[in-house]
Amino acid sequence: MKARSLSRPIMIAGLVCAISATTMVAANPKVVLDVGVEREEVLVDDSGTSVVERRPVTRANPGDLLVYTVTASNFGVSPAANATVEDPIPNGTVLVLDGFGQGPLPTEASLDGGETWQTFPAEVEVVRNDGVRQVLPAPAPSYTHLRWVLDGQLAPGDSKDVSFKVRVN
Amino acid sequence: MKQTLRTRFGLGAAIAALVLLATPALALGTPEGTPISNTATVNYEDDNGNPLSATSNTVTTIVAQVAAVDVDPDNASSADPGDTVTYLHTVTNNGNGDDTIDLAAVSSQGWTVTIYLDDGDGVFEGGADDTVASDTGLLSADGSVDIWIEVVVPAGTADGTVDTTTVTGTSQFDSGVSESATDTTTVDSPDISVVKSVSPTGDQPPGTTLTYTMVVTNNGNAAASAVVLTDAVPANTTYVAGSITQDAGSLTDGGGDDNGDFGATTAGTVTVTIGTLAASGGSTTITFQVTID
Repeated sequence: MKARSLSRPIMIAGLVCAISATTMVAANPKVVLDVGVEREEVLVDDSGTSVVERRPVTRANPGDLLVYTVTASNFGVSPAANATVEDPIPNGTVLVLDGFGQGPLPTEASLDGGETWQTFPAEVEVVRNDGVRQVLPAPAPSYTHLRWVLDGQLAPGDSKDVSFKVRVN
Repeated sequence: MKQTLRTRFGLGAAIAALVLLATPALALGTPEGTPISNTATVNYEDDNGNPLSATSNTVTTIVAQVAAVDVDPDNASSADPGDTVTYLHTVTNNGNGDDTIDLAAVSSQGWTVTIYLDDGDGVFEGGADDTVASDTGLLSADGSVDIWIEVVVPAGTADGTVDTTTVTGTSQFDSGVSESATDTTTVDSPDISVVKSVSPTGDQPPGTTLTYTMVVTNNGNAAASAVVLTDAVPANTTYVAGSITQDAGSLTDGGGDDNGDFGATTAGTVTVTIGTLAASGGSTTITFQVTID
């Protein structure tokens, strides 16, 4: 680890390491994921206008809205092919469907722990007691995983954010 | 891309299955202290089509404690003056963590109110085995206790008096969280009136016989017992012997043989022991006569 002896900031040193490591193997992509969480709060300012703010959170109350943001960055030297970012809905929370899935990236959802996937919004087909099949929107608590398709989106140096909102049970 | 899940259960079973996927929730949410953690995964391929993956850092949010209190139900009862009335309530910790709930009960009439913790049998036994309490003791999330509110209606309280005793449970964890229930006590008591008239009316010469009529009525919401009417014969008149009647039946002047007497109980006075008058309009009519001296 030569980089340690450099008097440069650690971040740069890490990047140099990553590049030198990958060049030794091949011209490969290297995707690094970071996830962060904030609490969404509706504040009312002096004029009575509601303002939605997001603040760092370590403790949350039941009913609070948490926004998870996942950042995928390609520190490699070639594009990441067929990249997908997958994130489970955390235990103790329910996905907030309202306003979700409006982003530019194709979004998929799983209702069975990531075994099978559907284009968001997910549906369930049920057979009623009278034998009639019916397709219904999947209820929010049934969502277990989300997945975003980033294929062709992660060239070297590229970074993409995806996010979703949950309510604490 | 769309893969519709094919569920072969009935609708009810499908919904039940979906509900099971959700985290079991308490009345008010996830237990306090529960970590909510999230880690994302990325899957991709290198230039040669080899699969690669990476996981993110893990972010953890701890569920904080939130208080919630439930006091149920509202009760109502009627009571006589002097009665002691008891009301049963269930006090529940609907929060997501341990909490002790302070108890208070206040009577709108300022009557004496006592709070008892039920000993678990749902039967009020006073101080015998239901203890006087100012809080519920420690309740776990979703835990509850039954409490009794004892309201003492003072003797002599007027008929129709309404008391609202408000029972309030307040979280010790968060004193800003409380809930109340009410116990409404309506007092039923006798309300006796006497309407007296005389016949004939107006100026009369000496020797005239006057008939006094007293209508005794209970307009209260409770029966009256041991009702006694007394009426002193006016000055300058002489009682007409054997003239007492009750509801058109004659009563003797002697004491102890029937409801009425003249002079036996109190000298110069007509006394009629009416006894019980029914609630809401029970009535009796007494008459006697005098002559003007």
